[in-house]
Amino acid sequence: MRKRALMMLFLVPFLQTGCWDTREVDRLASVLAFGIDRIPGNEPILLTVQIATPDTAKGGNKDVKAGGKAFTVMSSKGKTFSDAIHNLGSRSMRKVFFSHSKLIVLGKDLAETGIGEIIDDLKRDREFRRIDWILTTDMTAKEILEHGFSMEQIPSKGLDQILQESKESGLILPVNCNDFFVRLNGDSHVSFTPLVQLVDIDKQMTSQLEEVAGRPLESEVKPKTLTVAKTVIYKNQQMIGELNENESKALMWLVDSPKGGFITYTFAPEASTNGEKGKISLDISDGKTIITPQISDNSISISIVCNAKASIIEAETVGIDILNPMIVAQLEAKAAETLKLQLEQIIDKAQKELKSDCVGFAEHLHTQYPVAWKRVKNNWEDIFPTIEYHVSCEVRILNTGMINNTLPTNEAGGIN
Amino acid sequence: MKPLRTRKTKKTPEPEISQPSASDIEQKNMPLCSSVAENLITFQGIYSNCADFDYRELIIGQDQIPVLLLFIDGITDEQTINQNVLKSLMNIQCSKLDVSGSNSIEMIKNVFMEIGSIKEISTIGEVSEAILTGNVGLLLEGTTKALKIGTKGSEGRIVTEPVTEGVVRGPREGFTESLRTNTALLRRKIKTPSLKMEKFVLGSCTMTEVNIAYLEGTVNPKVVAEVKKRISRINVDSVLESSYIEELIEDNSFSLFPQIEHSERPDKIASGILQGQVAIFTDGTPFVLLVPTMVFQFLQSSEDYYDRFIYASSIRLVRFIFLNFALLLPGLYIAITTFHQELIPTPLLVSITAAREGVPFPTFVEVLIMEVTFEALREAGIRLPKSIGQAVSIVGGLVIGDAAVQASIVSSVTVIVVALTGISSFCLPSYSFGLGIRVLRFSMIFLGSTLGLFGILLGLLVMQAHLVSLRSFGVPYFAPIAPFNLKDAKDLVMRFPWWAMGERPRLFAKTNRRRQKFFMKPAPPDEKKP
Repeated sequence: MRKRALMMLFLVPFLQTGCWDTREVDRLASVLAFGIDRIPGNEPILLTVQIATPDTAKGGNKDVKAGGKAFTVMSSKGKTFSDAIHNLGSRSMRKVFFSHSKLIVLGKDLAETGIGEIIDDLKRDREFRRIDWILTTDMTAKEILEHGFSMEQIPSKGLDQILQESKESGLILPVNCNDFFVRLNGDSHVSFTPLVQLVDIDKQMTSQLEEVAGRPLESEVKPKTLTVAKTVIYKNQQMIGELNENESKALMWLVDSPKGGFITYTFAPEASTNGEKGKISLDISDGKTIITPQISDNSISISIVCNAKASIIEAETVGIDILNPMIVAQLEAKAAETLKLQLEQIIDKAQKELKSDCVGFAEHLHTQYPVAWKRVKNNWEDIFPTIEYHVSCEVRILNTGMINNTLPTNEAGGIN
Repeated sequence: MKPLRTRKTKKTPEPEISQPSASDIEQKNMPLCSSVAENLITFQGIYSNCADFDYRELIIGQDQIPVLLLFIDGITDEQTINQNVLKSLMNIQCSKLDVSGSNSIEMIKNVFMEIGSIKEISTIGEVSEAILTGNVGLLLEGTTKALKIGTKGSEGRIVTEPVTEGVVRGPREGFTESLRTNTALLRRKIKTPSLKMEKFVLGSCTMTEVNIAYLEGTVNPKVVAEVKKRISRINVDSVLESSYIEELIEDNSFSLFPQIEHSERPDKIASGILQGQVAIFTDGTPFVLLVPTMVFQFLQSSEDYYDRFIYASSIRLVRFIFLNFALLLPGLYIAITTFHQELIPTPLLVSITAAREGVPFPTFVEVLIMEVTFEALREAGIRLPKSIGQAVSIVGGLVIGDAAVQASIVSSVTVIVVALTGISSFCLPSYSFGLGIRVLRFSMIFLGSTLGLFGILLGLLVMQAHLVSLRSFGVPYFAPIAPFNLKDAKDLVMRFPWWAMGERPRLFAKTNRRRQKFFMKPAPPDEKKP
């Protein structure tokens, strides 16, 4: 009897769930990236998906047809985002499977008119991953997704690598869905995403080279390149402005601790007699920012303390002795000053130009002074631009490199 | 609660075992006749139509007493009969001693017979048993007693390297089919009178001798008692291999896991006995049983103790990993590719998809085809002679590895999975344990393809529950993990160095656990101290 009961227990799971949600892999179309644009009409959402083509995406396969693309781009319209996904089914032979997507690209029109209507489905459906990178473009998402890389077969993978690399080298802070949503729902309702652009960098550079050479260069026409260097600021689910390259780098110091990055500045030693000047590049190995709000007599001020460890990566200043601790101290001070300027610049921009708290002061205030935060919560938008802040930076040069000065000085102090 | 279906309770009388019949028993207990001639007629009757039955009549002593020697040709040592038995009987004539009368048989036994093993017996049954096991039965005129003269000798295989358990480093001798050779191999390793060997005779037809060997003082006496009890229960007509005994004494007949370890390596059996296990030797097979057994012993090879402990531990770790592969890999592959595609890294998913393009079957069928083919190839390879076996593996390898993929019958990823599973299953040192894993693998494939990872987890849970509920001769099968014992776990995944394993396993040796002196870790001599 006991055995029979056990047997029944063992069989019960087979009745509960099972084969009905089996999906063979060759019945799936894995979406690698998708983008959303807004179009006029009564079906305002245009969904574009980039799907891996298995036959050609398989690396190193001899059978790859010449010119066969490793990805396919498909689009569909819909009244809502999920409607658009549903409509895609009428065109796709295979079930569209979103779990493998790495990127979400938001089109310019959508970003400007508001992304509220797509966020709900992105959060609700379990197929969308919260670790997808989210990007905004200044064009349409469809254009971005149709564009390929020359070195990477699958463009979304290339973009994914660019974003990961940029985080490590301190160029830009990539934002995944989760971070984006959390910031958007946070105290300040301000969030940001990197901006992906199609830039004709090659053309720019060629023309500059032509200027130098004084003749037209012989070069083949290269396609535009996908570039991620700027940041887009969202407030209340709407795009309100963008940060340029330098401001994007500085933003990293305020919302995350950079693990890499460069500070390049002009340096002239104080003791220099003949006005030597040159550029110094520091490679930051470890950066840390501590943001502390202070409240006194109804006024809020924020103190920002940055600590960075760096090593000299390039010192083209002639005649300085980087083995001299005094000089190193001067280098450190100058670097700190440069960093401080960058940070002040972006906070100024946030306060005066964007009038939105993209630097995340609200969160710090909320966590450290919850009572005070309740008072200012409702009119934080008005209070934020008036807040006083103080930035102090400290850069420590840990490593000056194995070599001393590579540029020998002559008597006159010029370069040979 | 009433049972759903009542079983038919038709009482059939338990059938009598055909051998020995009642009349046979009667005859067996019959005393011998004092007349040699009459006895000869009796034995000729018993051994009618037995071509190998042989006898020798002779007359000894000055009184011309007839003597009858009974033996079975082939299982006796002819040289011993000629040179020792016959010669000593002939010598009686030369001596002036009187061998007639009531003490004649004692005289022959104590004075004349130049042979080591000799015993007085008195019934027909005893004589019959004596000659069937290779002894000579000596019957003397005028007495109802007989002599059992040990002349055992038979052609047997010589001691060779065991086929199923090869080692790179370690002794190369293996057990043979002869029980005495086997016990001798053991006795040569454990030279102490504490090593006891108790004799049982099993099988009414085969009269197979079975010895249980254990180390008195170390072994748990309850286990020995239990082994004896279970063996005495056995009443069969034949015992041709130790597996007959294994199936009749194991704790759970329907478990997929073997609960009794077997080995044909004397060193392995010796080490088992030394840590408190009981060995069961069966005449006629090189495989010796070792009880009680814990599941982790099936993952340990005797070579683990002959390699340095760091290598041995790493190899064991590899074995544990590949045990999981052998059990789960095909099931996991099906579960993940048909239910949980989000778990696969994107480039891998793309390759799997590309490999599956054009394959007509669902992944489950694909894996099943390949697994069954692999099992068939394996079976074919074992049974066939070595020269043909190679041809099978070449054809099989080509068919599986290349042609099936080229023809888009199976995908290349499936071939990789099945091949890896096959290799993993070869990593298991115990063949019989591997068989259990092979059967379980198919259940995992089924569970994985119907319920996904949930099903595999379910299967593992049921398997785990079963494993911890098993007992082998009173010892928990899953020990020393459940119940956990840190000291016993020194010889589990890790194999600690010998100087750190001062104690025998707690569950085998209950009382006498100390194996050796503690703190024997070697170190170079301290040069500072003179």
